[in-house]
Amino acid sequence: MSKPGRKYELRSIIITHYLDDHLSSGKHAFMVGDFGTGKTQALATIFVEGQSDQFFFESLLNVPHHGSATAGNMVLGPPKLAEFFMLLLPMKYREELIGCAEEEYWTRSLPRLGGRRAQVIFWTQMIHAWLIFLARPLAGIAGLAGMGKVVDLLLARLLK
Amino acid sequence: MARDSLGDFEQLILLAILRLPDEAYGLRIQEEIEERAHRTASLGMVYTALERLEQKKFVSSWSGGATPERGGRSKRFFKVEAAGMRALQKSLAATKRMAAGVEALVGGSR
Repeated sequence: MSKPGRKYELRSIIITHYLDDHLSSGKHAFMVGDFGTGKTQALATIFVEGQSDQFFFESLLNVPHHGSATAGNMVLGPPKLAEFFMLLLPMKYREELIGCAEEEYWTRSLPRLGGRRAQVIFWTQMIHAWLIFLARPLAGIAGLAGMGKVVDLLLARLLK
Repeated sequence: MARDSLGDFEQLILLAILRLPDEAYGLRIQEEIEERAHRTASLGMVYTALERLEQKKFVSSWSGGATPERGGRSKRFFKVEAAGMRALQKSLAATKRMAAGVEALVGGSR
């Protein structure tokens, strides 16, 4: 059943519960090992597309706690670095934004477009969120510059 | 822009929230805008606009439950408040008044 695998990086996976807690819908299966609390809670999510529980179990056995794992069609989560950069966003609802980006990754991008493109979309969301944040003060500066020009024009007319 | 006026994107956000009773959170709002308005909207755009609308007291929000596919993070649901509804009515009425008489010109633009 397992195909020649691709290598996926896994960081600190702790599996706290097994098949009872994985939600299976014909095509996709989720399993979540949840540890930690609050905003910094670490979460290991394993996503297996279109595979039986047997394969799911075998895949888990191949996953070491630290290092890389080789598994057939196993696809791991959204890019952690992009997620980290999102966490640095000085926005009120950044946690919710990351949650939505992750939901989009698992439920929309990954099933429709595959792992690589889903990861690109996740990165794009992060970059876009930062650009919007950075553009706000720049827009303010542009506004000030515009005001400055108006003042210059008025002064020039008055001084003539 | 006046404090109670709405931008084009803010108007779409408020309409999307109204279309999604009890399930208006970031990703669903983004999907609704993309599907109905055929506008590309990133999650950053949506949440920035939602924060702005909440500051203006046009929308209110509450936290929902965490789900596995969101990495254990909770959803934030949004609801249009009375002030938001008034601003939306005003904005839509202004668009309607401006379009009156030129429907034939702008009707086939899409």
